[in-house]
Amino acid sequence: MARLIARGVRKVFPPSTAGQHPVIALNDISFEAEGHIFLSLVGPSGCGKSTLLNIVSGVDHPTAGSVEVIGKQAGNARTGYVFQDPRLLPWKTVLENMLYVLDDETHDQQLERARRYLDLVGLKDSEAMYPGQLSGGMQQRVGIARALSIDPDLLLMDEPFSHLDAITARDLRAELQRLWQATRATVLFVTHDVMEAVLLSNRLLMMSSAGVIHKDIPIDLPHPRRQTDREVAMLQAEILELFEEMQGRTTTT
Amino acid sequence: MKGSWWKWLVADHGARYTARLVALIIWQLVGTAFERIPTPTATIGFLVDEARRGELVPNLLVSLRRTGIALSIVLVLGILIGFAMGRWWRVRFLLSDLVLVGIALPAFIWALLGVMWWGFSNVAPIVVCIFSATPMLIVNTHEGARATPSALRAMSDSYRVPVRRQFRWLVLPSMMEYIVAGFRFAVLSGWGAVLLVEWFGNDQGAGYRAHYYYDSGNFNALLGWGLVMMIVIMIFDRAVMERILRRYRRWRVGSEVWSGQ
Repeated sequence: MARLIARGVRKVFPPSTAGQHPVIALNDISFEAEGHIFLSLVGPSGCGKSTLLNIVSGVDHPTAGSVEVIGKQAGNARTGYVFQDPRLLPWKTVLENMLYVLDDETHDQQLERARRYLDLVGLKDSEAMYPGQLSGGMQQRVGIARALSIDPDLLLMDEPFSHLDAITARDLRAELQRLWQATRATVLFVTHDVMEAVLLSNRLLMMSSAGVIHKDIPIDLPHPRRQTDREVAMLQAEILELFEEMQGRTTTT
Repeated sequence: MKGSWWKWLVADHGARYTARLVALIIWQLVGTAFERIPTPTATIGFLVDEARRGELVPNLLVSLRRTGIALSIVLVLGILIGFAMGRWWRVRFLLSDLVLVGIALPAFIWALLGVMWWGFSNVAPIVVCIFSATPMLIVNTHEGARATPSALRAMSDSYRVPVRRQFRWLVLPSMMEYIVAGFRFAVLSGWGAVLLVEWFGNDQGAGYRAHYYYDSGNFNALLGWGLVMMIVIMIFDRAVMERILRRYRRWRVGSEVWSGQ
């Protein structure tokens, strides 16, 4: 589990050629999350969700403000990252892809750990296969297993099911709920899909296209949830209404 | 009657052997007709005699050893410099003109310079081979390093994968096609450079023996050593490079080529 603190995060991308204007991707983002929580960032495309995730992971840096991730050992938080595309090394087998990110243990321990997490996502028998021989859903499962295998304090997920077909995505969402409950990780999940956010999260940050947090919504429904649950459907409708309201306000101002 | 032997002759493997046989027969006929053109039988005959004199294998081994040492150094230098040029633009700007000079300067100039600098020693062929072959590898690996998928680099950074492992597991495999293509050119260029240095100023090696027979006007011997030099390249290409490439391409068997960037 981790403690995640964002203070006044601002990100401005400078113009790449003459005549362009700087792009403000994030504007004064502040929030705090702690413990075994599934926090979703929801917003329209281009609102800066993925930029924020990259800043939290350390791949990118804020123009102003700061992000602090405190893990079990202070200053040494372990962060797993599940990307939109699985980002597996195509020339390495599934097992080798798992071993690629593992450290601090003997080779035998790493093997045992990699196999345990492959088993957890139902891919124990595919360890000798290459990513190109797997379906999109299976590849994404490897990505999830890889992220979980490092025993992360914080798990970052950037629209991990957006490239998959509806049926595979639905199965993986159900699987993710089970996996999250089995781990102690703090999850920061990015999506533009309100239905997905309500199904998975217990807290939701609505972001507007101006790169700011519009609303902070707690979701207090028991897990596992199903898309067809009455409470889930009702909450989805309410949040969609809030989005419409926000969009309407943006277009009228 | 066109029986099964005819089918074998014109189909796939058979056709290839037939083509080689026809070429040999034409060569033999032309060689018989013109006095200054060596025939295949005379060339092979010379090689047998050269082997019996104890000159073929030792001289060939000397050249192979020199080339082997030099190309091992070329492989390391070419990959490291090419990678650095592809990864950091400052290194690219610093070295790109030098690499161009290395490619543009003909091998025989390198060879003559090497002989003048180091005389009859092992140093000249090895150093000249390095000077001549390394730029060939660099231009290819440099492109390969730029082709490393940035998405996979970002993934590796986010998981804090150690730099050495990133180099071995991500960068090198993504450069592999370029390394193999570049190393093929480097081998051709390096082997030629070693032979030239031996030709111009050495008392051992395949190039020295070819020069020796050139001075005595022995057509059969000159072509005999030429044949040996050519066979070395063919064996290396088929037995080593092709195998490495086949082994590397295993991941593509039965899978689509990954195109994510």
